[in-house]
Amino acid sequence: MTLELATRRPDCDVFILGGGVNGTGLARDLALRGLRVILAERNDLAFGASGNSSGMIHGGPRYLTTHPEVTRSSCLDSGYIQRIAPHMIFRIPFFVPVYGRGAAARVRLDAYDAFFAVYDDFQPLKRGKRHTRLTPDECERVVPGLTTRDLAGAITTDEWGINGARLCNANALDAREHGATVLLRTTVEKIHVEGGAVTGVRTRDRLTGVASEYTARVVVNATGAWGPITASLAGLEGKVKLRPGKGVHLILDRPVTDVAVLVDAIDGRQIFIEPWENTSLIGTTDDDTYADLDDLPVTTDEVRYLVEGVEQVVPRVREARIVGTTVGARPTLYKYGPTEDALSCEHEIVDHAKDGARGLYSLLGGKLASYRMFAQEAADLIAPTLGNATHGTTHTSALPGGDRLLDPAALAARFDVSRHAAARLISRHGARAESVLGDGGPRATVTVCRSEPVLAGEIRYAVKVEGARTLQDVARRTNLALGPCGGVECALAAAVIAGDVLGWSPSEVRAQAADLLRARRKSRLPAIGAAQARAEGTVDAALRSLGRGVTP
Amino acid sequence: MSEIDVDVLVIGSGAAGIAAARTARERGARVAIVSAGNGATALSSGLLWGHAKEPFAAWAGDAFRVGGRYVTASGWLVAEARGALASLLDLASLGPGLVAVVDLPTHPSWSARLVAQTLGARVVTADLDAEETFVETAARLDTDGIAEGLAAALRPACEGAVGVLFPPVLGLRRDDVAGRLSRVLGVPVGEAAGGVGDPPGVRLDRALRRWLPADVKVHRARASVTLGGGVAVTLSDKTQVRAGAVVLATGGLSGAGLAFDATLHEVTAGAPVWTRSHVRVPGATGAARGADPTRWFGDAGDRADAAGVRVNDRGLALDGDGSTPLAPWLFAAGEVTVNREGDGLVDALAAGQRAGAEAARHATKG
Repeated sequence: MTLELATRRPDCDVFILGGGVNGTGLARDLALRGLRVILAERNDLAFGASGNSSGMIHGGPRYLTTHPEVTRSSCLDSGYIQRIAPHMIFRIPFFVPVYGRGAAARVRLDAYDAFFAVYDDFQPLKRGKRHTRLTPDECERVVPGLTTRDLAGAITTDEWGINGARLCNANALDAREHGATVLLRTTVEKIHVEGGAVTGVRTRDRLTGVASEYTARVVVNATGAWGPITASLAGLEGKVKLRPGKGVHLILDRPVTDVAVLVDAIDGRQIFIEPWENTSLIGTTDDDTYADLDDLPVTTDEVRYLVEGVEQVVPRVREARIVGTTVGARPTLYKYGPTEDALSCEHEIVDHAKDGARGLYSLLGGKLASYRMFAQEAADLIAPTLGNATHGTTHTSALPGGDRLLDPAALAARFDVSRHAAARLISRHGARAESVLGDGGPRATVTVCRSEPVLAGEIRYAVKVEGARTLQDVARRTNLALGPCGGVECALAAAVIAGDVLGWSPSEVRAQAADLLRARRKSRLPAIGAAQARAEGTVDAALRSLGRGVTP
Repeated sequence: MSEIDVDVLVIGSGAAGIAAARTARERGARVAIVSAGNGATALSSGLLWGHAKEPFAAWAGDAFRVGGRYVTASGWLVAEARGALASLLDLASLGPGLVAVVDLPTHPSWSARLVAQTLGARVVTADLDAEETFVETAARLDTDGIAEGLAAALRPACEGAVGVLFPPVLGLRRDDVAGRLSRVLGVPVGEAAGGVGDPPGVRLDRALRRWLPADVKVHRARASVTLGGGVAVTLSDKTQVRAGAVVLATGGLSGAGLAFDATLHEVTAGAPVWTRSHVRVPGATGAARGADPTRWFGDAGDRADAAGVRVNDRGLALDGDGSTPLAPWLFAAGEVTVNREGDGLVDALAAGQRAGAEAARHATKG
């Protein structure tokens, strides 16, 4: 290295790899502390586990008996997230039915009752409601159509839901508004280590193919399940070990229940159906995965396992249609031997100075619910090494749009959109919904996707402000094309609007629309049943209308 | 008790069924159609796509314009498609000069800019002032005065254009909207072909029905065909059927001629089904808990309905060995079949024409 290069100011203080909730959370935290941050994401924000989880900011009741201090900090943090992003969270009451006869069932019910009574002590930290114990009659009123044979009763508790993709976008946006640079669809090809310390990275834009070099004082590997691959880019093969577990969720076309219902699957594992925004989510599987993380498969087995389990308790689930599946790989910590469910979701920060790469850190594990704490922990470790002694403020500074709550009715009246569209828009953008519509360009309030719904202005916002570079990126931010129609009505319209901003040629617009239709089809494929099979014919027709013809 | 007594019974009233019925009638057979409702034809673009050439073209040419250059709503320029409807704008028929493309600011899926960029045309904006679907706009333009008013408002901006291209909104129930606009604008006027469920497809479906000879009745019922002997068809409304031959033109998955539940199967006659790659779909599934959609729907994503009944060169539906006809009287055409030339409406019409002719020959030879 020449002297000139060595003394030049690095391009950034911290270069973060990974646009999941850990990466974006850390980018925001460091940017708020005044550090110069660049974040590169190989696919899209929330592409992996962050955007494909159960979408919960829970209080960690599973640690209640073994590590009550973890439950306490989880609940406290859930409270913080409500404060910084009140628009984004929604209450999910949990309903835990107990089946069986005689003393055994009663004992189980008593045990749950006592357990959640202890959890109640932590609920005020996150504005949660106290648990209740329901008689079989009350159960039926709460969950109409519930299987009542051998029903002993149920316990309810209270948790909060959140849209992981929106959470990542909010963090990334705030980081950018505090000076950070966010590079999407940009992979890192090499992490440079010289003289025992990291010096920077080489990136490549996966859409344009252009390579760039960035110098950095610290590099953070926040790539979730991709972590071991990322570490190998610095020559640290085998220094980061994970045992990724694949988690599949099903998205139904309607909220089947008003509360989340916990159910025992055929193998005794706990799965659930939860009302989630304007759909239902069924999850979750947990299986070791050895597949390509960029293209994880969902199988018919996984879909049927989940539906069959929920059907035991909520037979009405068969009336709903599966409009999509999601899949992500949990970055669970490595251990050889135990079953997947027994693996730890704890988080861990690895300082690779011990591996001869000073300034390189790997964030391993973690979960959506505790992302903010994890990011703060990492920032508290990293910032002092860069001579920055400030404290984290991510628990008190509102995320973009979280500074005040808008009234959906008032927004609807002001912009002449439906209240439903206004409410959905606010759930994604909070107070920024005003600028989504107000600065959304021509025809901002025209409805593009009627399933969600998604308005034209939001598509422009996703591209202009949130950095979406493909139509699938737009869909990840807006739930576009996530109805039984599979996007037949909206794919082309959305591609036209996004293409207007991004300068797509007519053939690129068609290709983007077709890509979205194919991606949504692929996500439905293992879940196609009799009714959806018939609807797929219209998707074929839409694809034909986009993909055939002769230009002059 | 009501009764249907014909030479040829056609099951299905989409493009293939109507072509079969018309052809059989032309060959002197007595014909009836049994239809359970609309299918893929009504969801088409309004263009007659496909590969089949003569003798289809000459036969259909009396009702449908043959050849031409048409634009689809997604901005594809379509060469050599067949325009089913007078309202589609045939670019090949226009003189040299610029086409004006009408922008409807309230329709998100129509991008006049995109289409104009493909055509090298100019954009003119129509102020319809309401967020409505193509179908709603088309229904509005049906009304006397509305289309004329719109044309008058657009006229100054269209000055000097050799033709005016609209999005697919030129009439829902009426076919004269393009003509009415053209009279005011003074140049040829037409629309781009639509997408799934857009007005041109709806009008094409109606045009096909009008093409059906008046003495061919369409009976609303669900049919079921029993194999193993002479012609045996039962209808959901218990109407008795006597026929000399049957044409299965029930459509694919979206028309419900094929269905996917316990396995992927042909609904009406239980005929054996193959995939496009010539794999026979087993009648009884070996899957422990029902058929696996990922196996039969393919993962390319482009085609969900890549399967169907196999037919021989006379249009007779074939048994599981792939060569023996299921019955000498059971023909199949259109989307329910797998070994068709292409998957366009022209191919469905051509296959229906062949099946109708063969069915008429079989039923009337005695």
